[in-house]
Amino acid sequence: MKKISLIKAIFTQNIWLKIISFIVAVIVWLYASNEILKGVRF
Amino acid sequence: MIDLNTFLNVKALVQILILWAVIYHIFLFLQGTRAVHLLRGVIILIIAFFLFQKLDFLVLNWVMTKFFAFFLIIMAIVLQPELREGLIRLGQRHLFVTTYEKEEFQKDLKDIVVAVGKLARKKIGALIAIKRDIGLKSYIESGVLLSAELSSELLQNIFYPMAPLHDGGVIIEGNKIVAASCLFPLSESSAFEKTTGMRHRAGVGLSEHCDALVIIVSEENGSISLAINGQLSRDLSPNDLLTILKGQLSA
Repeated sequence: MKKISLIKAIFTQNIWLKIISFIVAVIVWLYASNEILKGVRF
Repeated sequence: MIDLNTFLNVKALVQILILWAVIYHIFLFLQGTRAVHLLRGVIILIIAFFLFQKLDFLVLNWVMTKFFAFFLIIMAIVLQPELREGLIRLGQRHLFVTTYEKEEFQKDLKDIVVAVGKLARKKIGALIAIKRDIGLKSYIESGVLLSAELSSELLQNIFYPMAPLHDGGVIIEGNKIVAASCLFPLSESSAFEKTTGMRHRAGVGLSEHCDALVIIVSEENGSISLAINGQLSRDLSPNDLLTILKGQLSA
């Protein structure tokens, strides 16, 4: 697979799933960082 | 609260990217499996848990905490086959894109198209789904598991009118015919004419639910159609079909 079509595929395949999972990842990261800063262990 | 410097540092970015990749693959894996129904319930429970925490409902909070501990064990037991398959697949995937072994897949596509062409000439109805990213596990479970090497002859044999597996759809994953006689969901789109057959509705229905490519051969007139993302392309020649499939699968 050529590099350009690989990059194109990254931005076209399952784009909504990628957006939603990115939002979830940011929320999880923010929540976890907050908990760690508060000194709460998981 | 987290300050902006912490947020913007590279370590944080790398961690978010890793989290993103993991969550994306979990979502991708869950789509099309029975785990997705469980996930809806889990999301409701998590929202309730956070609400109880925020509202300081101590008793409910305690009950939920105890329940979650058991729930995780129950989930691991119920979803054991999915978890095992997920871990096996973990090392086999690209990070954010699905690629196919080109030369091998070109041959497999030709096998599919040759079979479809022959079935169309003989006016034998066929329904073939080619899996892309989204799992088709729940549909595979509705049919008969085959896990057979893909070949034009086998495909024709499956759809032969007197054959026991000719009813329903075939699911192809890579170079394997995973299952036959599978039930696909019917499309409820009003865009269809009333005369549109069940096979076409099932083909479009499946393509509405996932990213699979679904080939439909009409037994009435032997026409070949292809459903992608709920859109049906009708009256394709075998060559058209091959070109579209190549384009879709190597995008």
